[in-house]
Amino acid sequence: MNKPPKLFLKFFRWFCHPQLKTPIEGDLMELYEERVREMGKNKADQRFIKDVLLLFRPSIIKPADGTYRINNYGMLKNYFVTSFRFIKREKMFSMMNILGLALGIGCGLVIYKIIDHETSFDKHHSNYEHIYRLVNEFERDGDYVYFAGQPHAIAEGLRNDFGITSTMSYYDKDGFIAVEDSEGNKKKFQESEGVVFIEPEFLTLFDFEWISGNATSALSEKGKVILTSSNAQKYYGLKPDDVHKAVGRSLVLENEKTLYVSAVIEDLPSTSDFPFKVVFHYQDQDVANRYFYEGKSWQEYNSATNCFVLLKDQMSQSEFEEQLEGYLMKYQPEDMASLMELKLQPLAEMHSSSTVTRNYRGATVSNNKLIALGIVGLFMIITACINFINLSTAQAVKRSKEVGVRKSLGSNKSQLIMQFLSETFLITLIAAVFGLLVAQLLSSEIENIFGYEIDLQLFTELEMLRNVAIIVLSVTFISGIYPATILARMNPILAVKNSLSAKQTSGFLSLRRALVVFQFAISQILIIGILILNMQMDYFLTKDLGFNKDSIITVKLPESDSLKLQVLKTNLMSSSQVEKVSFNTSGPLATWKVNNPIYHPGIVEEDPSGNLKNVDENYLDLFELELIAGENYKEGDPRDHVVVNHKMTRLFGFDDPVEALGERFQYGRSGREYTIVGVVEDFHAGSLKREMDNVVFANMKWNIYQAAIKFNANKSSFSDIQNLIAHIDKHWSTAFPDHVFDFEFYDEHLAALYETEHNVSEVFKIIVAIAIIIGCLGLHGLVSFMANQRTKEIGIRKVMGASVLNIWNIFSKEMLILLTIAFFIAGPVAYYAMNSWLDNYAYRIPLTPTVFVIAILVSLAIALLTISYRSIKASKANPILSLRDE
Amino acid sequence: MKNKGLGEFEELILLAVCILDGSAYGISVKKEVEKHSGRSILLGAVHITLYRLQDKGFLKSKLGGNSEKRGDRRKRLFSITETGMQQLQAAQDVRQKMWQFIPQLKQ
Repeated sequence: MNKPPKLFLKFFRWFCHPQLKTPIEGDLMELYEERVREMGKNKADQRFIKDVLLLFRPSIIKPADGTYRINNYGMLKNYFVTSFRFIKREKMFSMMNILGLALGIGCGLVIYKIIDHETSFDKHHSNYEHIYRLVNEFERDGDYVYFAGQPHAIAEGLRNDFGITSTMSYYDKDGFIAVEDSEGNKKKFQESEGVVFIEPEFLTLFDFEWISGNATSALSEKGKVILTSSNAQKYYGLKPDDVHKAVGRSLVLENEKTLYVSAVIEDLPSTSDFPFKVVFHYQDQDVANRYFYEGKSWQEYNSATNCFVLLKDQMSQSEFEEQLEGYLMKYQPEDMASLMELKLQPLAEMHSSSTVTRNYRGATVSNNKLIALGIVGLFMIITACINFINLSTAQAVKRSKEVGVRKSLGSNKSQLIMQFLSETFLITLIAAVFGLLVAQLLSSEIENIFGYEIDLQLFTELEMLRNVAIIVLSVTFISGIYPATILARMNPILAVKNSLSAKQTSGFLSLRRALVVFQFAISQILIIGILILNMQMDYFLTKDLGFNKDSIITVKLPESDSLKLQVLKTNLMSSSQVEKVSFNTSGPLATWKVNNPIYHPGIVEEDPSGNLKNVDENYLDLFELELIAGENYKEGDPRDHVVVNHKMTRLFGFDDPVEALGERFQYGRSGREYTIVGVVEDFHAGSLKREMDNVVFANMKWNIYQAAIKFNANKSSFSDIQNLIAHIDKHWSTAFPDHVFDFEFYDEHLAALYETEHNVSEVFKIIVAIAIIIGCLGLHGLVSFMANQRTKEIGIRKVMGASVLNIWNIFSKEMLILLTIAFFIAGPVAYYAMNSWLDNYAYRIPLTPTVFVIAILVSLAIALLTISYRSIKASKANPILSLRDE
Repeated sequence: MKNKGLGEFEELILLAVCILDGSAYGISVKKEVEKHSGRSILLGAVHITLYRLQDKGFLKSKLGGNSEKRGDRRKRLFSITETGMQQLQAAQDVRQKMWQFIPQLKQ
């Protein structure tokens, strides 16, 4: 028999009035048969479709079924009542379900918030899409390297040569500010962030919220300064409401320049890569930046000096980049200008770029990281759903009688599915409420780690409410549909008799197994991940850097006057706690570096450069840098005598450091010559994320920024340290009465270099813990399911003499198999992911099998603990109870 | 005789049901009308009209047997009611009367 087009037949059945359905359908079929005989199937099909479509008319379409559905209100109400009763009766089950889902949802929400925060940077500027940062592109070994620092004069050059809006900004970060109150008392503030010098154009390019003053006049000339609301309050003791009173008052920058407040702006949002607090005119930076040269330099590069341009709608990024080609040739010597090309980086990429990793906030957050985070968040929700599926199918047997009765009374499959879905909805809804609580707790935890506020704002932010709704609905569907269909599918007779055999349900048991494997795999990946993350962190913090970093305090030096320093040193040494003092540019490992090219006939490498540190003769001794050839320079030696590291002698072609002694080389563009008198063993002059540097130690009197103090006090003894600090503070403040004393422990300073890694690992720890909890709940669900199904089997086994251990064994064996399968999935995935993460670092730990062994053992231990709880309970049950109803 | 209104198409359908006498259902009615009028009509139109006439009380129906061709679906067989017959008759009478007054035909 020929079949008419199925889709249209279905359509007809759907719309046709039930009373008319049978006869009309019969007619349709009869006609169809006839036509197939007369004119072939194709034509008949076409005519059939035409007939069906023409039958779609008011008198044949069934009436809108409002009248039928009125009844459903009662039914839905009944569903919810049943659900509530069930939740109340099965407290343990409901609690685990709600807890699992709440953890998953909470985690998901917080992760969403983090991603939302990281992707909304600087979007509040109205020119967001048209602002670009100028970057330099270098080609190195076929790779492109980018650098955002620009010479001071470039913005002005662009304005004159291209007529576009452009601006320079120099983010000095720290600055020393003094304010005098009406009685003449001086208040001193050492700012550690937010001090910036900008050209007036910056204010029109970017948006600020002006409390007082405006963009055109605020920085119209030198000597003006803009304060944020909170800094105005801080400096002048104003109340938040009258910060505008700060306008016209004065402050002193670096004890040199007196400037007047011209405007007050609102604090910048936390989602800004311009964390400005005190904003000065660009031309006023001469007190803070000795390489300023009145802003006329085309050759002075500094990573803090950025140039932003505004491209009007008619010009695209590539068009302007084309115009910029060879532009630097005009102002720079050819050998310098030919090294790089000017490119544009959209403001939108400034926060997420993986090529230009510097911005004023410190570091970029690459999109890959956010995607990884998003995947983790999704996994959390999925595991929670899996968990729910496991737990509710485990309960299916208990619901079978109810289903049987409902079916006998005439409810059909879709109604039953509706019932269980609405139950899931109810549970998910409750879970979502707890999830928000979890999110709240988590976010305050994460705020501590990341240092920015995660504002959940559920009720004020429509978007958040929408997200919660989406999550609730999709979780309801994902986790509810499977158990619901399983339940709805039950054979009513067997269900009522309560004799659903394992066979009938084993079909879904295997899917449940697959889900558990998946869940295991996720938690194992996370465990491996956190282990490796921690090991790498540990490696960062404990690796021998080639010098000593312990028991050293560093103190900033605002001035480098030799005489003053000599007095300070003598004073400091007067305490028995102070062992050694050295004045220098920076510690052996530092983020701030003087980096310049090196010239020597023996060099084969292309464009090598090295760090120059000006240090006194006590430095090597204090930091325990190992001298492997020659000797340290002494006070009074010629200024060109330097100590270099071993890497540098190898650069010159001397593997044996002794041969390099007495060699002369040129350093810096000025071509100044130096003579090697000593060589130290290689050490890490930068973060372990990168390769080692070439280093030159010279004994010149400029660039002396800090004092390093080696002490012999017990760092764990609070009073000892307090005494020491007080001692240093006293003498430092005597030497520099106009400044604010601040100090740092050198080892803590170094640990801060790995802050990002540390933060990630902290967040990861929380996530892993939650994933493991959810996993345990799921596992518990699976074991409960098995125990429920095998109650009789266990009863019989017990009667036959099985011990608790025997029965525990039955359960654990299966789990062991599942766990192993999961490991074979998790192992390679984790290996690949973590290996590519570790490849970011020049110095990394090797991936040893130990980590993987630990991970599987940990997950095994957790799994066995979970299983034991339930299986021992099952095996202790009295067999009489489980067998008597047969 | 009150006229409940009988459309032209309704009249044709009623006539066809009368002709078919007991074996009138969707398709047979459709075919009958097509045979006599020579025009092609839609199945949907036939059904709608049949049910409308039933609602007006001119037709009655019962479920009949099913043939091989129709699968499992039973036919609804229509037959004319007394009022239906009267209505048809009335319509016919009106026409007859009017025919008589056509001058061209009188010659």
